[in-house]
Amino acid sequence: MLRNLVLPGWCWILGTLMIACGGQTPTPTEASEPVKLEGPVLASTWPLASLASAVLGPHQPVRCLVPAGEDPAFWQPSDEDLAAALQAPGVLLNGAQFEPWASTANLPSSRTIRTGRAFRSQWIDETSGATHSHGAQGAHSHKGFDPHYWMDPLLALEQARAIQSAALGLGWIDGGIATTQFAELETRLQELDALWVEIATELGSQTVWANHGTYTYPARRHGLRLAVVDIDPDKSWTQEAEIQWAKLETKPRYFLFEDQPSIALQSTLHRKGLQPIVLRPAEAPIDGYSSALDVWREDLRAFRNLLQSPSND
Amino acid sequence: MKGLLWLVRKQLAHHRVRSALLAACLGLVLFIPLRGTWLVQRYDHDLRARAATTPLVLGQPGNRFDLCLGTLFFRQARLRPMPWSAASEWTDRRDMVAVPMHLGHHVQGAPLVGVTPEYFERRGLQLAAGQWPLRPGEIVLGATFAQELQARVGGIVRSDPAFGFGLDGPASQELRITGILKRAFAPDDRAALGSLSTTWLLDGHLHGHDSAQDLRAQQPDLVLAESGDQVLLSGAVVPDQEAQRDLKRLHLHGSNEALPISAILIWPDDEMVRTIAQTEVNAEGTWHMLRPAQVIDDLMAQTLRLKTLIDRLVWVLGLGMACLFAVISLQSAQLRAAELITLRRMGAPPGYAARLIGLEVLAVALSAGGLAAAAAWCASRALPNLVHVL
Amino acid sequence: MNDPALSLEGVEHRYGVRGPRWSVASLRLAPGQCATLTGPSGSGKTTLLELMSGIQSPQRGRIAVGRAAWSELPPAERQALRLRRCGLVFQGFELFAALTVLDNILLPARLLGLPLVPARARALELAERIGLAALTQRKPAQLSHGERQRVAFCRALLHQPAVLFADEPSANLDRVHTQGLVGMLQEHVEAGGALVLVSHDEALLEPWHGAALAWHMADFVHAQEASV
Repeated sequence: MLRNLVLPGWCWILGTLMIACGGQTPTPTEASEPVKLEGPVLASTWPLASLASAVLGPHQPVRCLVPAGEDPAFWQPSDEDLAAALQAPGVLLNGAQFEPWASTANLPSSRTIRTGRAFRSQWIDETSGATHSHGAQGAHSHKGFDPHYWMDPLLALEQARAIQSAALGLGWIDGGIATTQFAELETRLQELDALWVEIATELGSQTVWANHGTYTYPARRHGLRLAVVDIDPDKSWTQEAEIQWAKLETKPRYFLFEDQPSIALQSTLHRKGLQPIVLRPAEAPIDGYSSALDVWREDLRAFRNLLQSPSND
Repeated sequence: MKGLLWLVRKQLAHHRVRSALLAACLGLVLFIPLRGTWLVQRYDHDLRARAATTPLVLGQPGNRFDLCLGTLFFRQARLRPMPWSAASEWTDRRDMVAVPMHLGHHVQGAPLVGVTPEYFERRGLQLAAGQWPLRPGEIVLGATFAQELQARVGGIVRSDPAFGFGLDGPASQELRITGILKRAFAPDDRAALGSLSTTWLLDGHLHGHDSAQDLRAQQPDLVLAESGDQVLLSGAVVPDQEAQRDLKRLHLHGSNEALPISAILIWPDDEMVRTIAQTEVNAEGTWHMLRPAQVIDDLMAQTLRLKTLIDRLVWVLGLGMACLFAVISLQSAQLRAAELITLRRMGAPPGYAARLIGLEVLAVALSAGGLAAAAAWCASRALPNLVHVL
Repeated sequence: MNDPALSLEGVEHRYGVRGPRWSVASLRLAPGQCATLTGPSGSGKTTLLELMSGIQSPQRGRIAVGRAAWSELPPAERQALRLRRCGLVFQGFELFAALTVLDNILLPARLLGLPLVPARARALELAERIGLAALTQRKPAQLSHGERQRVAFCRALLHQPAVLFADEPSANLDRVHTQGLVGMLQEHVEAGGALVLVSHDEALLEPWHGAALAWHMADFVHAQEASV
């Protein structure tokens, strides 16, 4: 009878010891394997998806909810999107009413990360309420806070920090990977900030026109003199723009556009000596680019190069 | 012995009405304490089980029983609302899961509870059919409620008017049933659950209606003023009353930070987080954080005191009934004295008559016990969710 | 010599302190014998019958059924002996209200734990013979006095007792049924059973004249001796 108990007893003791030791000395496989999430982390905009991909690294999938060519301010999620959000390890939102659907959709609050909340005090209150339109999606007005804070690379860095914090808190990645990935992203965003510094230096005190309030955040940080003149890039020069143009004694040389202006608009700008500059906010995915960061760098470099080129003088 | 049992059976069968009445009376007296004990045990079990799975509740300072019973059991309680902005402090924390909850609305008499999706995860609720609510105006129904309503996925139910029949309050809304929950043997079985937006929709904070531009063209009498693209509309604009799938059509007037919630259920990661959170909140004083398990302990202590008193009364009643039963049995024996003497004279063993009477009494008592147990069981089946009823 | 079915030796008994006192020096009743016990009302016939059947104990003397004296047996054995070996027809019938006629007749078999199938057959046969065949499923409350008396008689005979004590068994019977009763009593005696018959009914007693021992209560008053 006793003999029957000896073998299982030893097995139990050995098993217990192995379990006890196992906690202190993880096997190399356990240590090196990245966390595996059940589904992709969802991002409401492409900038957020790009920042999240950079923070999480190549092993964790991130899905941008807004498809290419859509404006997040107008886009509506499908039932599949909303169901995916319920199951997703996390839902990244820009905030400041940039994705209006998110305020009424049933999202898991503990896994919904409002990436702009931490620097809310830095949000720009846009009470002017300018009404304008983007292509065929109809007019809308801006009231409340300007949601384009990612256009300031240092605020984008803050958004990335919120993503990193959530990633660690919710267990999407482990600390080691997070630190390495974040350092790389930080370098890239500081490079963008440095480009803005160079652009601001080159522009000096001259006023720059912009067709949208998208650029107010980098303008504020780098002291750019920015005047928002509401012109749809797809359309032509407007009467209001002409009046504003006429009022100015010192004419601006650069006009910032979110998208390539139409041929008609370009020719008007050319006649007036206004150089159209495309600085794309990349709110939704753009074909040919894997990350919004690449789009921003490309556009900023092009603007910086233009400003620094000898022919510009 | 066989002869004795045969005689008992014949005797009881002969006096079947009297025996049945006696058993029923005795059963009723047994039923009361038995049912009372089961009732309290069940009540205690249900309350504690629910409380044990809800570590913390945060709400406005006030009656802690109301806060606890309202949020855990959806019992009607006037909980002072908290602003939605208070919830984000907790929902953003990574060392706990916080579930804001909005109570106070009803569908066909059942509570309609607004929660975030984490509620379903934390409570372990599962769908028997359909899918989770995704948009405002979508709800899932608890199993019992769905059964009572004979509801099906895709069906429409109308919310109970939030402000009675007052014309100035928001109208009742059509709500789409997206799913039916599996039975959870919890208050959720008798409730409808939706998103917070759904309850805000019923509050009237969130609503949808035709665009101002369309209304300007269709009903110019609603336009109070206009300037360029800006249109100021009268309050007589009729908001949508049907379940809306167009999220863009729905909008809030005012800040969403001020939207009301009733309380926040909190699941901290560990005991330390729980203790620190509770200490900090209660020391600060703006909100009140309680441990449902403690509140239920206090509640049960009061309930048990009441039960002890009732038990004593039932003992007295039982004693009275036992005396009555003894008198009836003795009277019966006396009436049958001739028969019992005959048994002795015929040669039945000594004590045979006493055993005969004893067995008859025992049979009636056992029948009464069986009746009481069966009645108590039936009553417990008839009241599957006692906590909800109470 | 065979053991007597019933024997009384030096029995003395008195009702209360001042009641009539009587004594029996010696009485013996052999198996297959009948004794008729007569006497005026109140002379103690029923009491003597109860003494003989062990229901009561005499103040002095020995009464035995077979070899077993009632006074020498512990209560349980005494009861068992009476149940097994004695059959009693009480003056007041004393049927069980809860039982049917058949069940009442079967009662001794139930108490004795006898096999039910033959007992039931005998009960039905007795009921048939005494004119109760149509009434076997009735309850005593649904019967006349005479019918109840016949049921009580059948019950006493069911287990074929060694000694049958019958106290006024024909008190409520008409002539036809009394004749039937006599026939069954004669069969009992012919089958080897002893019979003590208490009766005033000449129709019942007449067939036993000369064939039975005639005991009269007057013989036992003041210690008069009667011997068999």
